[in-house]
Amino acid sequence: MKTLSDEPGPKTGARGWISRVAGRAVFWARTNLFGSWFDSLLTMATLWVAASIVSRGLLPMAALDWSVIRDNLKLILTGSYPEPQLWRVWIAVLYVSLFGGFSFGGAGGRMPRSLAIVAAAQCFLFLAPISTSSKAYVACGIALQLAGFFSSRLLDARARAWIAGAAWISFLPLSFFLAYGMTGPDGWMPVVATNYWGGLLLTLMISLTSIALSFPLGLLLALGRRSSLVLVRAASTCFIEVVRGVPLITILFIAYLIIPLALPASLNPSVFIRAMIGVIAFHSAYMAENFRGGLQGIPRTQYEAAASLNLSKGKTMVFVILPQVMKRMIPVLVSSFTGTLKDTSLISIIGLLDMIGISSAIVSNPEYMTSSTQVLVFMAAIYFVLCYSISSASYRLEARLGVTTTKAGGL
Amino acid sequence: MKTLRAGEPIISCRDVHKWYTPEFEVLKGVSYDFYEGEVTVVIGPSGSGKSTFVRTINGLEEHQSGSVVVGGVELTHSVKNLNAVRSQCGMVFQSFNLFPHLSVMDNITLAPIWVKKESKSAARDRAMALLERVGMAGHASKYPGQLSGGEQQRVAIARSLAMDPSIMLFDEPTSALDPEMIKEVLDVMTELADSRMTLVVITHELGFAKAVADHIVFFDNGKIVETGSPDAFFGDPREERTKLFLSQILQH
Repeated sequence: MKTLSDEPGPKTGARGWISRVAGRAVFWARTNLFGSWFDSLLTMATLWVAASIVSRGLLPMAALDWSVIRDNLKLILTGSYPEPQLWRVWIAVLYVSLFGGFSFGGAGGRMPRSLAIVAAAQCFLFLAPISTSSKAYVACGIALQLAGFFSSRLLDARARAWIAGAAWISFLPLSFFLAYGMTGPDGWMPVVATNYWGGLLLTLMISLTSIALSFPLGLLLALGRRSSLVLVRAASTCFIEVVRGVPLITILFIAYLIIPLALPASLNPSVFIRAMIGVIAFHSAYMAENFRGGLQGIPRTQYEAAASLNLSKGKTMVFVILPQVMKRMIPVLVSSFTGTLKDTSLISIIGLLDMIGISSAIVSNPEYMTSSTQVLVFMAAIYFVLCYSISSASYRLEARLGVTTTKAGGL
Repeated sequence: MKTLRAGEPIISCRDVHKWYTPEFEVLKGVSYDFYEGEVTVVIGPSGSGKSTFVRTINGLEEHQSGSVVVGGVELTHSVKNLNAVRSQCGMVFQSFNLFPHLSVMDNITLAPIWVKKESKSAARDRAMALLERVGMAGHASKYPGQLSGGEQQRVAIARSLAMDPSIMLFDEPTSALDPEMIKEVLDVMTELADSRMTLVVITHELGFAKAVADHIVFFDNGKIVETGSPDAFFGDPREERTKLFLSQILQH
């Protein structure tokens, strides 16, 4: 029996629309998923793997008891940082929210993915079971981010670049000042020694400082390695090769054990400082090799052109060579930055309670013995959000500087 | 620059030797004088040392013995002398060598601002005038990658001129160009010659050499084989080596 909808020709109404969409879906599936017997096989295999990941991995995970995260959230994020002083950490977070929004606002068009990720993380935190005051701070953060994003559009590009540059350069000193404090125990901003820092706070402090310092140090080492002064060249090469030839764990132990012996007893640096020195030394050696690669990519003719214009060696570096090197090196730099961020997790072996140190401490608590999966997954999620927002911000930067024309950001 | 006495050459080379290893000598005793306001075209087969010779004049290549005196300043190891010589010599390269990360305007004003300490606005004004002179006034805000080879080379000439040199050295300025762009660069060079600037030009463009040059210098095997006015050089070469070279390049 023939019905109306089986008639060929244009179809109208909801049923027509559904059958059109369904027809298109079937056509798409047949061309893209089941084009040949091999495609069909791959599709089935992929579906099976995806289904098992969901049914054996994700669904059971949702059913787990996540209270361990809720109970220890403060510990994971800031370690044993004294609770009454947490407002100082929050101020640093708000600062980042404001200038993060500000820096990307001027790019025009849509929000970069990294900013959206941070905003999403903040919204997630807002809904999470945390104290009301924390929620107020998170709400403030979201508001400041939006405010920064839109206020930067009112300024011209030059002013925006200056403000953003100044804000990011002063960010690390400011956050150290905030986190460490300045007054005695009864003052308005008592000193919080670094052995109270922990969790995400410690991870970020160490990794951001290493990134900020290993970058110029690596550049100096790379230039030193190309220097015409024998002593400078030998010293740089020696440092780079020795540090690169030793695993980070070893360097951390050396920094932990030997630095106090090498320095006068009165100086006795904290474990935090020792770890930081180790991490910075390690990464500046790698950074130096990155820079060396970048410098080698600049043809000799650029140096000759600069020399024929009477530019001095220093000015040639600053105005001609380094801008070209930096532009080419963004992808490499970003991967070393994310590497630095992740490598920081090794500081837990010299007794610092960064995120990994804290998580093993939590798991070793008998109360949470069965919750190690939850803690690990949460750590992984935090690291992923951090690293992914760094790399997606760099794709944005690359696109703006015209380094890549393809959509490197994927997805 | 010291003022030259009448008849004193602006560039004077005496028995210039250059070697990388003693067995591999690139310049085997070159002596030649260049005079102010004259156009000298240097020709010779590739590997003859002509390019090395011209690069020796502004110290891009070091010579091992002999003397090079430019505008009364001898090229030595002294950085002061090297800078004094380079401030008199502009150089234009075969592959243009513009700075790819800077706009045309910034390419030209970089050295005047940072070396000669000109004010930004003065440097920009002069750069515009120079771009006008090489016929590139409409391209100031473009980047080298957006220009054709001929346009890049004209910008490179303007960039050298911005340093107010008294001598311009050209190292095969048209060899990397497509045929239809060669003329626009040669036109600019002819205009420079007409303004009585001292030019030293390595080129294979014999038409340009015949029309513009005051002197031809023929290089082979690290030495100057023959020199002369274009008429004498192309019309009645003395040396066998010159005749062979000219017959080879004039066949086509």
